[in-house]
Amino acid sequence: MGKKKNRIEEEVMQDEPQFGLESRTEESGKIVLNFSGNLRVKVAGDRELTGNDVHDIGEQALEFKRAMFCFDCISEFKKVADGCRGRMAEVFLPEENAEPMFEDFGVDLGKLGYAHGDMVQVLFENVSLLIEFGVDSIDIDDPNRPGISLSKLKAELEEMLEEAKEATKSTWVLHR
Amino acid sequence: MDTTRKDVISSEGEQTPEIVEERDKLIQAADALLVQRNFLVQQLSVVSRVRDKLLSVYKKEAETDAVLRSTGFHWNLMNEAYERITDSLYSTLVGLRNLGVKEFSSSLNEYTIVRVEEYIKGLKEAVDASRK
Repeated sequence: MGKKKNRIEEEVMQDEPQFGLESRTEESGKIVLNFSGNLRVKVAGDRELTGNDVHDIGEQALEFKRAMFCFDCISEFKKVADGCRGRMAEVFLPEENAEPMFEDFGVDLGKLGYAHGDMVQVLFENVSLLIEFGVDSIDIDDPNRPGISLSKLKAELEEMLEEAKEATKSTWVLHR
Repeated sequence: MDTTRKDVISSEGEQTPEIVEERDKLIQAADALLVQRNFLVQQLSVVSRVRDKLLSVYKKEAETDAVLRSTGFHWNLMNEAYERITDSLYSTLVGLRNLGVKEFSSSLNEYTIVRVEEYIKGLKEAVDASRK
């Protein structure tokens, strides 16, 4: 169809960040590291970064880009599946009647739930590591997510993990 | 199943008790199929968009579909289900048309009125495509 490919899609599976393009600049008291793959990372200005640190940050930033890509895909699936599930459950009363239909339609809601939970966990660990490296924000060249603040994202992910825990707890109580 | 919102709005021809009973059964079936098809259309639209993205990364359809399956979506089964439901809905609506039903309200959402002839025309293309 001659569709122009998104750079994120092309580069998300790249094995290694290319450090040849790495550069450092000081910006409002922060160190800005530019990596190939259109990755831009801002680190707290008081950090003293060795070459190894920069390499690790680059690798972790690339991991983050991959994880964010998968997370966005699964989140989109989940949003629609949850919406449809709610609507189907309303119509095909009692609610249990709606469940087998999903299976029949090639959709495994349980698997989707687990995949989403796993992805939140992976992203959370990734973000925590980047924060440990002193990274404040990251730009993965996604117009939908300009300059991602890691502390804000971590708080959102924490909330999702809590919600997932609560959901598991209530299922457990129900099944007891 | 919730039966409160499905009513015949407009029908013509003979209305014997047998015909009314058959008509109500078909409306019930059509309504269920409408809801199911709506679900599949929504899911397929999102999964198809994401599948295209994944395909540009993984390059191979088999690998892409394996990734989709790991997140709970069986691409082939979804498409088969879509064809099956579309086909059934088409036949059911044709059955309703043959009984003289012009319009009925559906529980698809609160204000959905299904104009039978119009819907059959819209589905015809999808049914033909799936039968090829």
